[in-house]
Amino acid sequence: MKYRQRKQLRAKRLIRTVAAVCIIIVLAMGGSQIALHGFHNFTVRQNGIGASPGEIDCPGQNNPPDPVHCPKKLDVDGPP
Amino acid sequence: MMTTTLEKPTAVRRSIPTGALGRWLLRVFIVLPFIFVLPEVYQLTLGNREAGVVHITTSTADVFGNGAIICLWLMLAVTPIITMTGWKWHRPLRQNFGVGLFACALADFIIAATLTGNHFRGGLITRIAGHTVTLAGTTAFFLAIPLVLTASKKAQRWLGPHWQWLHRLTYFLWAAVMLHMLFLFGFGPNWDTVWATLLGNSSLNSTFFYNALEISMVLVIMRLPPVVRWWTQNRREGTQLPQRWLFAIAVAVPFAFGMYAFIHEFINVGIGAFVLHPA
Repeated sequence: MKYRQRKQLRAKRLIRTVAAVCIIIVLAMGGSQIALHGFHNFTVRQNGIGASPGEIDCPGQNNPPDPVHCPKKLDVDGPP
Repeated sequence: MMTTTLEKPTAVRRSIPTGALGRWLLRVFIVLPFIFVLPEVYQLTLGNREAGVVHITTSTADVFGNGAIICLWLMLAVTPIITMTGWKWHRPLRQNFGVGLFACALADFIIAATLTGNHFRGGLITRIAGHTVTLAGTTAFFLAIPLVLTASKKAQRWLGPHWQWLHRLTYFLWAAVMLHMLFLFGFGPNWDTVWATLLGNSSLNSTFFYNALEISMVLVIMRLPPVVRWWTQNRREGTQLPQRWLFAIAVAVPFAFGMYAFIHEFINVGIGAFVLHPA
């Protein structure tokens, strides 16, 4: 095998390891969160969390709110 | 004996470098998110820190999230445009948008990991991977790391034939982004709003996922090997022009509607962030 090909194969192995490590980190983080807080907390997201306020379309809208995705309004601003 | 003759220089025809101009205009989408959040960063670091945190956490997902996804769509659109037109001028943009996507995702990731304590109760890991939506976003970000590390021409030479194999990770990144959007916006309340969204009504943010789906479908269709073969062959031979035009309109219209929704939202939230009134 030529030197260039060997070098490319080494590069492939290295970058494949980097990609694998990245995927393992993500899987470990997700797995640890499910183990710590349970699958329900992992999948059910309170409306507005992770979304901008403009995307909260439940209260006072024509579309009936979905009880799972539209719980009580979050008090992120603190007391008035 | 050799004689050299000095030729009278002919008038050099200076044409407008449309390719370079187009590339620079499109690169605006890479820097715009960072310009939009500059006042918020200034407020966070040198002004009212509390207000800065509230502002930047409100607008980060919108500005950097939209910036990243626009970069993703534009990056993925480069290959179909080559197939359809044979143009080469926009080729370097694939790498530029890839790096832009990573930069936006990195900024979004750092802000989400450090400043979103009000939204996500818990530690660092909970903030970046505590929910399906954040985990999908974090997955997309982590998948972008090996891609951005090998984005340069030097890395392309370094990896040789394995570069293309590695960059197929882009498709997994694309899937992770789609999942992120699905978890973030859901399927939307009803079909009326879905149709309105597909026709570019960007005020219906809850169905943004459909805009992403609309764009993705076009990009997938334009990557199907039979479509690529048919198009490339007919383009080279100059045949089936009406059919190609019809096809081009059929794919360009939904793509344009989807892009309009994202760009409209991006400009809206970006200006909101710039004037310190995040939407």
